[in-house]
Amino acid sequence: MKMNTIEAENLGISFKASRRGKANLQDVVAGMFGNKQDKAGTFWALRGISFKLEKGEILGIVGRNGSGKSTLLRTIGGIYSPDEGRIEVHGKVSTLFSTTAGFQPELSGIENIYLNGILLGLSSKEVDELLDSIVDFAELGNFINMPVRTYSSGMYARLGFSIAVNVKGDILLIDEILGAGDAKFNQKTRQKMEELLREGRTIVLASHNMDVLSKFADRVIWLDQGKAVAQGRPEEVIPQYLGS
Amino acid sequence: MIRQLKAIWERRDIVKYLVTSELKTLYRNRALGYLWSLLDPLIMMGVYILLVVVIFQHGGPQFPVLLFSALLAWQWFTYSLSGSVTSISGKAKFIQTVYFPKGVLPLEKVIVGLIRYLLGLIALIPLLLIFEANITLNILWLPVLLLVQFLFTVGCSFFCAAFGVYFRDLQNILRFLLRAWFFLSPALYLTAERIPQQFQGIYMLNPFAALFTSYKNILVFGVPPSKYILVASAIAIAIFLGSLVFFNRTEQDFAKAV
Repeated sequence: MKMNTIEAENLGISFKASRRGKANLQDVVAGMFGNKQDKAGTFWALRGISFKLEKGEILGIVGRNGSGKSTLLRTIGGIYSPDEGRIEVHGKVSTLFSTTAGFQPELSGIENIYLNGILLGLSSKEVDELLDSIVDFAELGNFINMPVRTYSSGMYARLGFSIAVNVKGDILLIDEILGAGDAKFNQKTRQKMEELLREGRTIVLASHNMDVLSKFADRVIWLDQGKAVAQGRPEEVIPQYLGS
Repeated sequence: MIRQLKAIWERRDIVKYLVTSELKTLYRNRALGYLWSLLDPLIMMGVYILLVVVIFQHGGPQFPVLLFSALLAWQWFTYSLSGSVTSISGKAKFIQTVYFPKGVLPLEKVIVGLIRYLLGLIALIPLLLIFEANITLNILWLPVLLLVQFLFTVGCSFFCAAFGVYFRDLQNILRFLLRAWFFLSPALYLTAERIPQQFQGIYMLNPFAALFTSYKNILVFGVPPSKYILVASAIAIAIFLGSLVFFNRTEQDFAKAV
């Protein structure tokens, strides 16, 4: 059994450019009946991407905004299905993006932890076990029992991040962590991330932080306009990217 | 299709938590709390009594309880559909953050609607007594009627959820469609009294014509359901299965389309 590995071959993800990124129903219905034409209006967010990630390896993704980093992470996470080529992911994937998107404003912090944990694929028992570490990490004090609509945006982000870092699958997908709170919390965030990177999990990390990538990544892919410009060891790829 | 149902079943925890969080959101911070699920249909009934009995001087002595037994079921249906139409498009950010079977989103709306229906039954019982309903063993048909309505509602909700991703206008159109559908179904009147004999066959093909008639039959008149409930069951199963096929084909595109 190939456990905790990812294999992508000639991967392509396309969007209908008719309404810039919005698909429309005619195309979907046409696709249902098997005529997937490569019309001029098709925009490829990713194309011709191939890579292989073994258990315990860390893959870094670099590229400018809009180069396809998030699309690649979402594809590995099963959110997008490939329009071309194939991708095989063995193992339970968890996505370490901020998960505030699923918060219900009327519910308390605790209730939102349960709701999000379950949506991220945990059982309620598993959330029971993680609850203390999530609550501790978020440092929200009594606010944890208040409806999240009463939170400041910093508190909101902290809760989202605490859920994300504590819900750990076999394969971790990390989109770069933006400043979530005050300086002290950001410091903690960085430490937590480095801790995760040292744990020997299979990780895909999209980041603009070249120091972290040089230090931890086994391999780096440089994406530009959905294509892999270069891929290889960080000390080879990163200087090329920075020099471009 | 079986795989799709299995995927939803495996993640039934999500449905459970979404249902409880929606119920909490609906009723928390309301002075009357869960009483609202009784008050909603009762107030609606009051409005229609004002219109039909007071203003138009129509409706027999049992009009309120006949109306209520249909209205309660109808509110379940409208709650499910109007919730489902935005259930996926309204969760765009989340759908792009984590993978889960999208069917749980409309299903959750149907289940919350069903819970509201069951709570509403508490108000129905005194009404049955006050308006001297003929309570017989035929009342035991209720779970069967609820199952038919459940399948039909899930089917329509899945269609609404999937179409709602592509046509935001559906939300606006749906309000009027549901309103017209309600008046075309025998909630405010009885089929036998209002629809000419020769059209009754066609009229009863509307699943809610059969359902409303049957709810009134078993709850108030104490007689068996309308025989057209068989047609309604066939339609409900067809819509249910059709919606699963359609949903399955479109589901993987939702993350890109929202």
